[in-house]
Amino acid sequence: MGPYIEHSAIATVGSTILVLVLALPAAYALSIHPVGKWRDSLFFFISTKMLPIVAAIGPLYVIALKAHLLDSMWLLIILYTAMNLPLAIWMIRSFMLEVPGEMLEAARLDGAGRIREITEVIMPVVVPGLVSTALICVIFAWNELFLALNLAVTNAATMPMFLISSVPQEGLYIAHLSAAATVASVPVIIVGWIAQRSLVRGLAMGAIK
Amino acid sequence: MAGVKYVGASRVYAKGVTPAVDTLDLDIKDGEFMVLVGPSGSGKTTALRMLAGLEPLDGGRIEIAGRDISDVQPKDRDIAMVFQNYALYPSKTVAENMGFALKMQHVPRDERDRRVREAARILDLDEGLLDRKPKQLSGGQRQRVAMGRAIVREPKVFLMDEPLSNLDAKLRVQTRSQIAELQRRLGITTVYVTHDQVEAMTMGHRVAVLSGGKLQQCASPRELYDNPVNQFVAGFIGSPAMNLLTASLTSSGASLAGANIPLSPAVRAAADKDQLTELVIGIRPEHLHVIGSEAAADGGAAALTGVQLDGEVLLVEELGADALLHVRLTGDAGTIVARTEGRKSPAPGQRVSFRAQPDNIFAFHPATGARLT
Repeated sequence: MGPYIEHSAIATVGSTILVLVLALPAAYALSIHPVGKWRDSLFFFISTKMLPIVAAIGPLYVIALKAHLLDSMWLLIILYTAMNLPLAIWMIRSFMLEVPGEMLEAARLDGAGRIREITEVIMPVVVPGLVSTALICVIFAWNELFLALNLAVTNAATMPMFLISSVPQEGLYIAHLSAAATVASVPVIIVGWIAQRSLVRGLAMGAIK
Repeated sequence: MAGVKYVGASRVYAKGVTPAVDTLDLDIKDGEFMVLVGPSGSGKTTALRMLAGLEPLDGGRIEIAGRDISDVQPKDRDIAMVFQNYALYPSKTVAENMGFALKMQHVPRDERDRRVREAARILDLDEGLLDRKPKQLSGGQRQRVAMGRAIVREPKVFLMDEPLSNLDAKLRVQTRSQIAELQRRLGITTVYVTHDQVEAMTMGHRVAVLSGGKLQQCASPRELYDNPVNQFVAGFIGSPAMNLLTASLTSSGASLAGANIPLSPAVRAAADKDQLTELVIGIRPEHLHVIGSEAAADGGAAALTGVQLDGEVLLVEELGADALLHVRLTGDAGTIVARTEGRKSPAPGQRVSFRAQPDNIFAFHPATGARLT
């Protein structure tokens, strides 16, 4: 079970960090200082979620094979990042829109450049939103089965695959499966518990002034 | 310290739409407290934001201390702004909020602390509050922190965008005088935006009245009240607003509700020049004096000294010291408001007569709204 947990943890943490690193500037460019055609960009990001993942598995397999990434941790990190990125951009963008415009203008008048504006003014306001976005990315990546099953079956097998392998061909052993399922759920529950305060604040952002 | 000059400054949000600010020319002197006042959509906030550098100019230029700053970054304009919602940084303490601009200018920490404490002292902000976060402060304290944030920068110009609108009525009156006093003490040129004409009249050295993006009049509060240049300024300045009624022109003056209002030769000449058949008569509520019912019945000796208007009281608004009478004039000539002494006000339904001195009666062009003098 050890390697399964390790693989899941690496893929989950790695992809979540990558998602946040990429989503943060993207969300900024689609909300605070919108780039040209930002609506089209926003639609493009979410449109990538419209294709059922089954329809993309063939091309993904070929690409992974040619890039020599098949059955590797890197492949899972890249795929999970791509899977969660659109959702994260949309979520973080909506949190950034909550930052009062007057506060950003005050920062401009105070002489804050782009970097200071993000680190000193925007970030403290959107941190609860970032935590809730990260948690959702963690849950989705941790529970992902389809891609792992088809593209990373041995060297990078994850916890959901351990669960499947816990159903022996001789028959269903409920006790064994329950124990495996409990172990598989524990990390997500722990992360959720740690993040709960920020999560509630993040999800309720904008609900009241 | 420095003067501010708008030279034909314009802001157009979209083609074919009326400009938000239309070729504004305004000269604000060094150390002056200038209030921009007008109804919503008049362009007063846009004009202020143009000065702050938060709105680009579509025409003309703006100068601070004789230097064209139209294309200068907001941070390099040497200004400080107080926002309507204060715009304090929620994650920073009061001291950090006030010192943030200095930190951005790489002012050493000791100097920063000194200036923050000095600003807190000027504003009577308790030093214990400096370590608190904005959400732990009351509305009035937040307002003072926002002021403090502007003061520590020691700017050439203060910009204030309706900074009192989030305070309750009592605190607003108190803070109003504090800001005016502070400005006098610091002597820093201040541009203050408000929609409240009482605020404008009580605080400003001069008041610029805007409407539809255009400057209507810029003068001292007294001058605006005594000599409004047009119907808009006359109706906007003064509370309750000036009574504005259409009166037909006769050979001996203007006829309103059966009364003859004598017109000065200059007004008569101006009306004749434009071949007017009617004009708009303006009388302030405080210039209508109730005369006794007996006097009204026989024409009254008192009425002889002025123009007499008769009508029926519709509503009495008691304000304590004063009362406002809403009166329908005889012959359905319109409804007017008059300010009278509180304790002796007539009851609704009662007939009343008013007297107004011809000197206190304004005449305006019915089409252009310009004052006829």
